[in-house]
Amino acid sequence: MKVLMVDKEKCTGCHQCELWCGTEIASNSRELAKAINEEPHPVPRVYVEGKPFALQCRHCEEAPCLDACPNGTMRRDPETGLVYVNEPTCIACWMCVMVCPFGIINPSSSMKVAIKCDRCRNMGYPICAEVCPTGALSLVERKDYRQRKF
Amino acid sequence: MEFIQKKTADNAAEQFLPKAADKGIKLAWDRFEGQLPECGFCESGLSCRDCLQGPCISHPFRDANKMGVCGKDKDTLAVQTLLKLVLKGTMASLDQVSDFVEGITSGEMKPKNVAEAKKAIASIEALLANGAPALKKAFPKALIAAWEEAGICPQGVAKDLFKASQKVEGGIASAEETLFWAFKAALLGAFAQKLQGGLKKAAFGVAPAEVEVNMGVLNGKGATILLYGRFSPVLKAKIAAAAAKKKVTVAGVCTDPVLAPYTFAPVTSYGSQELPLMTGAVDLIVTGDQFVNPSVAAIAAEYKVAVVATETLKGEKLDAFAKSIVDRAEEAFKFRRSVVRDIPEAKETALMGFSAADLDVKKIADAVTKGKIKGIAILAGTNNVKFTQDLPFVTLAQEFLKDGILCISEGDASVSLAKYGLLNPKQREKHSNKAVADLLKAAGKNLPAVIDLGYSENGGVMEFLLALEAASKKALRQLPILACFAEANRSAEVAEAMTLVAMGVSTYFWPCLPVTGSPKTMELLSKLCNEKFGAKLIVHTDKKMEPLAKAKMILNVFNRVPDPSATDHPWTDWKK
Amino acid sequence: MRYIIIGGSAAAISAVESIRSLDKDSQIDLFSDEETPLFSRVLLPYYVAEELSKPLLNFRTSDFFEESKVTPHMGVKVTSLNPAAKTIKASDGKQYTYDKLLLATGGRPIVPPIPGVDKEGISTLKTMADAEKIYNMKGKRAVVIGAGSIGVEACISLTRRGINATLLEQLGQVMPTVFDAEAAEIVRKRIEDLGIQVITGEKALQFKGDKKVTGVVTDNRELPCDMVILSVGVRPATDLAVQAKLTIGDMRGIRVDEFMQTSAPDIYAAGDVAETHDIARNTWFLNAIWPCAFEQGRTAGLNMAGKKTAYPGSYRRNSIGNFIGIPAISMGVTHAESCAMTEDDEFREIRVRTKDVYKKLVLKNGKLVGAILVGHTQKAGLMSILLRKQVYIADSIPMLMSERLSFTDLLPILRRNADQFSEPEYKELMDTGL
Repeated sequence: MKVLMVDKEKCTGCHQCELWCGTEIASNSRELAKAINEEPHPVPRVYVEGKPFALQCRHCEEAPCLDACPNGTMRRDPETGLVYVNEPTCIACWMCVMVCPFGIINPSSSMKVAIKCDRCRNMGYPICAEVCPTGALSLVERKDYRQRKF
Repeated sequence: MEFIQKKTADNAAEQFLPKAADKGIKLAWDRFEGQLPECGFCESGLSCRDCLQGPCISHPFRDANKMGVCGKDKDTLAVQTLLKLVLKGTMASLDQVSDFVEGITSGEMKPKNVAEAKKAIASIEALLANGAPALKKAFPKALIAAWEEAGICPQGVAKDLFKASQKVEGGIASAEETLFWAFKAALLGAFAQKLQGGLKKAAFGVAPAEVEVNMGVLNGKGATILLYGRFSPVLKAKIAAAAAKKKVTVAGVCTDPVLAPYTFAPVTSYGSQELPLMTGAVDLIVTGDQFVNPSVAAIAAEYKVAVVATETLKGEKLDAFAKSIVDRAEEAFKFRRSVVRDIPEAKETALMGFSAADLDVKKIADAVTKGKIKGIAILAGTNNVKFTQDLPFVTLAQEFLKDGILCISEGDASVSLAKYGLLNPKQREKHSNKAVADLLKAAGKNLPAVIDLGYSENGGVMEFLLALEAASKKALRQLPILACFAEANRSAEVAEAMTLVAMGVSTYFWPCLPVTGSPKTMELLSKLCNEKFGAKLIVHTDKKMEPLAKAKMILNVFNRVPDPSATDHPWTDWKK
Repeated sequence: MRYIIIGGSAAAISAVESIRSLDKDSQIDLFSDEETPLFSRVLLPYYVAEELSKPLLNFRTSDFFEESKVTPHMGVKVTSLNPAAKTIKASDGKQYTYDKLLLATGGRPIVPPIPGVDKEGISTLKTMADAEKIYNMKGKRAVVIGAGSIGVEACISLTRRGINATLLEQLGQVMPTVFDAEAAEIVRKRIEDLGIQVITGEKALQFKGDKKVTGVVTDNRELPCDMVILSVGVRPATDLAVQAKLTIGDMRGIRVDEFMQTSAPDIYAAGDVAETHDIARNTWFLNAIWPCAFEQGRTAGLNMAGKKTAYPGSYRRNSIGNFIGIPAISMGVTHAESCAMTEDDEFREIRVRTKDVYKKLVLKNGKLVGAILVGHTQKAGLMSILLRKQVYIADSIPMLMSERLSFTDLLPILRRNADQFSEPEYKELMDTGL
């Protein structure tokens, strides 16, 4: 399956991925000028932190969040293998937040649902990779990536 | 990232796009696509690089970085972004007027009317120092009173420019106060432009002139010089004089085309400024700084075109400089004989360089106040790669003229419109509706559908507006006038837009000003400005709106169609 | 191959899925003594609160059994188990044979032997039937006995329906198995802010009333009420295991090895009934927690289908969700004392408390064995993984306690212990050379 690779040499910590994820995916208005001022504020699903590094859901082969979710809200798409939150049934119990080893699941700002990257499941290409100005984010096959030498 | 949009409405320019691609020549459009998406923080005014503790952003979606290190919040960041643009824009006007003054005081040029020129220069020098008190008398009392109440009446470079610039260095000024500093700085630049117009009149005289526009004016058969951008009119005149002696053609790009007794045919508008070089018919270009793409130097090299910059560190005596330029052009022509000429057959006649004195402003005022025309639109600005070149200008002009709106244009906007015949007196009836055509017939000699009031550095629009106010005996805020920067990109245009608002003319500006990250700033630009000046600077965030839809939106305002989604209308003060 | 699964909740369904991931065709029979299939027990308080209707309590769609080619026997209790013959007898009167069997019978709620406990209006909250019973109880006042997770959630659920509730706990704090005293204080205040009376350190001695309960008598007072919910704990349902003479552990659960196998070959156990190795306590323990049940079920299923998979061990994890208005999470042990210790063991507890935010880490010999986060629970999962993998973190305490902690900060630790973090997702990130 394809995963998002982050090239740490290229990540400048510019936060564009967070900004556009928040605008294109998380907001209601899908327009930067309006999304900025939406209440409750949109929660981007990618996190630019640390040295810096853009981190989002790894869509683990054995996902702790899938085990932790008590009502099947956290699901895996059988075709793509992507793990996503079925928001209408989320009861905000935060079990997934508690078990995610990457810390990339977050409560929504209204505290009503768990928010997690779904690799832009309903779009052609992940928006974070599309907007990254240095090309630090890209989609590669999981196996290939592990063979890369750095 | 992909950006799918027609690049230009100008067929002559369009011809060169595939040719440039074939030759591997990168143009502004290619570089723009490579830049996408442009930084969303900067676009929204939520970034700051004023000191080295940054660069800072105000992240709209995360709590950790909502304020700059020094404590600037999103409102401060946005309004300071605007302020910085205005400061740069005003400095452009001040630079131009200083150049002009120096050209005369140095003795290198004898003005046509020495006494008037001396008076104008004295006013300019006063303005650049402590502010010209005489200038205040040129403005209606009510306007000056409003400006003084807001604290924005210009007082001179030190107070208006230097002090304003320090707002970004620190301090606790509110967003409102910072915005007013921006207005103050803008007005300084506007006053300078008005005075420059007076100086131009005294030095050269002003009269409308017929010019040909677009690349078809080039013929490649004799040495041809293109003047790029803004630089001293005195130097321009000297180049023209020296060239005339040697039968060398001098045309222009993004430079004032009318400088009596000379004209510089506008070969193209800002967006396609790289393309005339590809005709092979240009032998030498003279470049100012403002409005000139650094890329023209590289493309010039590609076509063996000589490049001479005017704004150099050590400066030159103008007569010798002008002569050397013409000589070099001749040499270049000989050297370039074998370069292939590829000149599009695109040419249009235009009558440009009108001033308020050439118009019967009283008739125009009456037509407006009596409702014979629905209003006046001022079309200003310069191409921006974010829009299909010229399309917004032309669409707005055409739709306005059809609906009975008198159209005024200035600067590069005029050149854009001229390419499509809108400044051709013979095509007046074709573009305007009866009411506008009738007025144009009555209000001046040989007026085209759109009246060009000259390049903005000469303050033609401001002069016209003041004359209109006097003739109509109404404040500008009460008259149905709207300014539309349909395509704009320079900081000077931002400063101009602020000035128009301060004068009481609501202004549409595209692309959207970089203040959208701060709802407070947007509110100040609409609600507060409406209170203080009777006009708004409209921050329009819909990036996808087509030009036709924009035209309709503005026509709705002229036609006073109530819009439930708008919180209040630019026409709240207009008197019927 | 014939699989029989006894139980129908988290562990059972998880086992079905993992068996089917390897073995698409063998027969699977699933027996559950409850009529309602596929609902999540964790969500019963939401049903009581009238916030979720029955269909929304399901954690798998209703066609799950069909899609997975499982023959369900709902409402059928397995009455005896014969490990030697590899057969079971069920309440439908039939006998079934198996090749592999999974005991996922979960737990039974403890009904304390308090006089009057069999009056009307008193119920535990474990099954769907319990939830419906409580939902249909009439009255304006309730007493909930036992302030564990279920008790607290049940109490708040009733309050959301306008019922006046009192929470009664025998020990000195709410949620004694989940939080330490300090976190419990914060949580208690939040519960009280919702209008609930919280009484700790008092025991229920007697239920008053004729046929129907009208009050609860404690050491110190009498609480008038119309209904009582008992949530004092669960006991693993080990009847079949006991009867089959399988090894039972100290916590009264069925002892399983790291392959989820019981003392009898081809019999596996998983979920609330199983006693496994506890990572945090480093001893056998029973963690009756939904994610643990799921993990164990999966491991059991894989082993049953022939893929030998070791279970790394369980550890307690609880989250109070949005019931009390702030997130509160706890994992592992809450106090150093709760771990198995030797003389050489060294413990550290690190805590930070600001007004409504509490963070505590418990380390044993430099490794994380417990964490409590109240108020700010983002990145709690990072604690989770460190606990699960038992890596040495004593040098990194300031970083772990920092509010700015992010995954990239952990990468050096992960890299030092690369053999423990062999999953592809970690390798992806470790390979970046950060």
